[in-house]
Amino acid sequence: MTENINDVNEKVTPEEKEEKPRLMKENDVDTVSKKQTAMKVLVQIALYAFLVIMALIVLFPFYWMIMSSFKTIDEYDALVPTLWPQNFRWDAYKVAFEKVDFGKIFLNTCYVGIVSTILSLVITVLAAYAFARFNFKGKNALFAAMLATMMIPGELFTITNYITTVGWFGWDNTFIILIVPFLVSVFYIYLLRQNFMQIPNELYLAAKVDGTSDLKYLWKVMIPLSAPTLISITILKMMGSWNSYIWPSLVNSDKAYWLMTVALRTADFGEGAYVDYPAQMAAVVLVTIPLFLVFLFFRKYIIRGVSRSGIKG
Amino acid sequence: MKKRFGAILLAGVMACGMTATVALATGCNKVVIPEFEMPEGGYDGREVEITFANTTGQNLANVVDPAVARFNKLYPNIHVTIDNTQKNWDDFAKNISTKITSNKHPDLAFCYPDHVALYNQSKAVLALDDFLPDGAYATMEVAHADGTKEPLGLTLTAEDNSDFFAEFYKEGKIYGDGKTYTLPFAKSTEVLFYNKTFFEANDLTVPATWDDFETVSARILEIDPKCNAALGYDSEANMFITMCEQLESPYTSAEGEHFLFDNQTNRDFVQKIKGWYDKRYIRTKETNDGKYSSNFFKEQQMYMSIGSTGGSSYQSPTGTDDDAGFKVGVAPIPQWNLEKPKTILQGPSVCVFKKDPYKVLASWLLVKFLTTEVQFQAQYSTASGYAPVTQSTYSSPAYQKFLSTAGDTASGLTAQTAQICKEMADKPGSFYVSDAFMGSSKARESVGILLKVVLQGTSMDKAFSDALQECKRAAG
Amino acid sequence: MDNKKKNQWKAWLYLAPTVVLLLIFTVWPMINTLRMSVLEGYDSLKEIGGASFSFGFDNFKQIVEFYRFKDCMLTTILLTFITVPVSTLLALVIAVALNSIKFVKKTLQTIFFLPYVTNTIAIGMVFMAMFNRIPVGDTYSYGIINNIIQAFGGEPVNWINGGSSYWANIAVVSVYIIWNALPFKILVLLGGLQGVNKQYYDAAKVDGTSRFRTFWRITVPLLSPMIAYVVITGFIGGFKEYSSVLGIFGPSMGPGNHEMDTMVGLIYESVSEQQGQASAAALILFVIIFAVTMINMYVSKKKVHY
Repeated sequence: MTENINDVNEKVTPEEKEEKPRLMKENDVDTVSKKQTAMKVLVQIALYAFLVIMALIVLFPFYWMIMSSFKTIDEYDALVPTLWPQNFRWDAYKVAFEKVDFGKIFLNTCYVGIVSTILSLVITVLAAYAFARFNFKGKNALFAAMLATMMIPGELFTITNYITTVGWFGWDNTFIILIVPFLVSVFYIYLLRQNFMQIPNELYLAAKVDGTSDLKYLWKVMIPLSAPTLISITILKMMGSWNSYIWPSLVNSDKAYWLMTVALRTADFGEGAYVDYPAQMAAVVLVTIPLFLVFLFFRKYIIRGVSRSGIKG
Repeated sequence: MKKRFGAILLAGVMACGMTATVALATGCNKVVIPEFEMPEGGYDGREVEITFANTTGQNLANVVDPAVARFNKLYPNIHVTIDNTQKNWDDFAKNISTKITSNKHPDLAFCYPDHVALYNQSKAVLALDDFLPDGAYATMEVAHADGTKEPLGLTLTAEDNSDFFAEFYKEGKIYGDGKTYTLPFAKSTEVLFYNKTFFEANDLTVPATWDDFETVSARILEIDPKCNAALGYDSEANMFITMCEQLESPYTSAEGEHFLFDNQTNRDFVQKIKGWYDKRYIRTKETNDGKYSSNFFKEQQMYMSIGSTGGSSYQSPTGTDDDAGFKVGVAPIPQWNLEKPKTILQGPSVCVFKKDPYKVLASWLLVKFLTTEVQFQAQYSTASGYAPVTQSTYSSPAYQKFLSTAGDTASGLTAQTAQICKEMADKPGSFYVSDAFMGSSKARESVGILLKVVLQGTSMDKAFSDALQECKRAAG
Repeated sequence: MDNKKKNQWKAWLYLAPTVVLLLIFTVWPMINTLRMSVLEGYDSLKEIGGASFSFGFDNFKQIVEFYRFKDCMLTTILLTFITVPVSTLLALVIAVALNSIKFVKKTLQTIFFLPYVTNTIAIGMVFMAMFNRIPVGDTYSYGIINNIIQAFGGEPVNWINGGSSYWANIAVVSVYIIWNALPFKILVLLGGLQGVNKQYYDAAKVDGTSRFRTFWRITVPLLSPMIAYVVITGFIGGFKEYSSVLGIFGPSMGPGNHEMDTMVGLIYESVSEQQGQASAAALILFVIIFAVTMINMYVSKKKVHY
């Protein structure tokens, strides 16, 4: 099977475009019976119905988050929850701006998010490349060992890592401590390795014959081909900086090094029965907007994928 | 050339990694908690930096910060950092206990008795006895920046700093070893809020005992059979422990056998509460699907609500609006024995950690200042709804002015509860605090769950046996 | 001749940062976990306080004999074996469907990725609103799910509140986990689909192969590396499930007393009171996950095509 795939791959022509199969399909319609056409329409309708229902389900929390931010506290607390705010209010946003110093916190979060994403991507790409393309002694053992590290619940590591980073390295109240311990993710290395392994070996051998260096091959071929996965990792990693709470609040008590979630949770929205959830939701929406924009920016790359045309040329 | 460089780099990085790992493995947990020894001459006015961990939010920071400024007029070289990152009490205690493992914990902190029991596994909390009346350092003198002097410790004779309410003060001494580890900072208790308008219209009497409560509840359900319940009691754990205390039935003990709550008296009262539950006389927060009683109380689906004095403003129907739909009355919670009333005492205390001796002295001076300065205590209590911890604060003009606003309208509610709190504080023995030891917080959690699941239909035997097993594991 | 050797050190050079960081921040804590598990009654605060602990396997015995251990294990296994297959299959179908439509394709794709940027606090609250019931007077007001059931003439179900059944709880937690897992799986599989050559499909079209057959015979095998990834990491994540139960039920980890508690829930709870037992439980869980992963790897080696 593996051989087969690669054979077919060799025949990829530069003109391949995403839309091509559709054209072919429409051309084929003539030869297909009416019954089959009806069948196809039905399948399309079913597909759309399925996708739309799933989309609505998936979208609901997002909708809820935004709607909650426009409710009054009383309406939010109402014994019967409302799907649509009785009257839209921006007050929650005013409160959120009063309670959270968005400017500083935003810069901090961006800084940590960007630096850790870049470093993490470099480390992940190098490791995944080594696992996908090199044969070396102990490769399988090392890979298995790395997978094994995913299998112990991480919260157990908190105390030990705290002693390491704070007690020994003295990294408390720095940005380093928010970045370095989380640079390696076996989860991402594994994902990228799978992606790299999908790329046919023939490309690599051909490059070797041409005298292309490993790094150049990695940069010119592997990375562009794995762009969707790399972008997924980027988004996940950025989200990580936005959502991380327990560790940052433990190691950095100095406000100068706070990140988003610590600031949000520490902001005085009340406690117990008396939390100002609309304001909290408003703050969450506000910090989500930049992420959403980043996401929209990257989205087209994920969805467009990579046309294979450029590779062979 | 390139190749050699790479190889050396690789070897170097690997070696560093291995060395670091080995170094850590051999040197781990070498934290030493120093015992406190009084330096020659006591605190000499030198530069000291201390960190004060607490849960005060932004509102209260406006009260704490000026107080620290006043403290710094006396001791300009003591630099205080406030750490209020954690707001949830459980996270707060976990955070500090982790920090103790690297000696990065604060120098003084807000605490509940259970927290002190946890920290003291490492013997990190300072026993304050030497600084208390008759203690070794109590009468030692310490100089202010302007040359005036004050006694280092608390003294019995001084008019202003030995006047803690005895009821609050005794909480520092419940750890089974006879030592005092904490001073009270701000206190709260539970009171009964009732719908005064409804009670007056229907000629109901506010229940003083649980027997009265049964009678009143039966009447309420006749008047409004569609209500959610007659009474909402938010905390199942508080209810269970308060019942134990009022009935003088064992709950826990810091010494000997820790968990004593599985006995016939307790099973009987749980059975009784189950009866009330089935007749809709009572709902707790968890048995009302997690909704706070104040929500139902405000919407007149409940006519009584037992809650903390710290949160009294939330029991009033429309926040601070005095023209609310109904008037709220406040009374002490019902009792089993009016001769020996018992109500829970809550609210933060402060503890000092064993550190460098000058840090300890600086922390102690701050503790002493914040707990005894009338201006701070009055402002803090007024702003937070907690009760002040000293008699002199209570009788100060500022606090008396606040109390004079007491009334049955929304804005007067906090002052009204504060007054009831004071009346109880004046009666010796009216407050109780449960013993603290490793596992005491689990005991509290477990009896809360116990009551909840029995109300929801679990058998008495299973509920008690599960709770005991949870507790025994936690005590280790 | 040197090429192989050269590859050797080159590979290790590429791996160096990963290995060093893992040694410090993961392997060392694991070693420490092992140490804590074999010191009877270990607690790091007690250790600082000067206590010493004897070597032995008491922690393992204690945690296994704890009255909730078996239930936690059972719930964990159940949740894993329900959610991993369902979420993987659902994600696969959605990814393929997204890949095979034309009209509003981009909009739909964007929608499916949106949950990525939804804060976790919001998701927990939505779930409460959907499945919760709220007492109003002497009756209840129900969430959307029960409203739908009632609209079809059914009786409202007590999903997550006091007195609800184990299976109702399992159903809700499973839906929550699947919901949470979907966007990432869709993204990974869609990313994989972008890498699949269209030519295979063209060939299938020409041959007149049915959609269903194309799906099983072409899409699934070609996507197999990504499916293997999603399944294997899904199982690892499933056995470590905890936050979803916490999100729905709060610290009581069930409608009453820990009915929905999982292994990791038990471990986290133990960290603050019995570190030795928590470490022992983590090692037991580790052995189980390791065995399951090995089986997964063995199967995928036979079925995955690179």
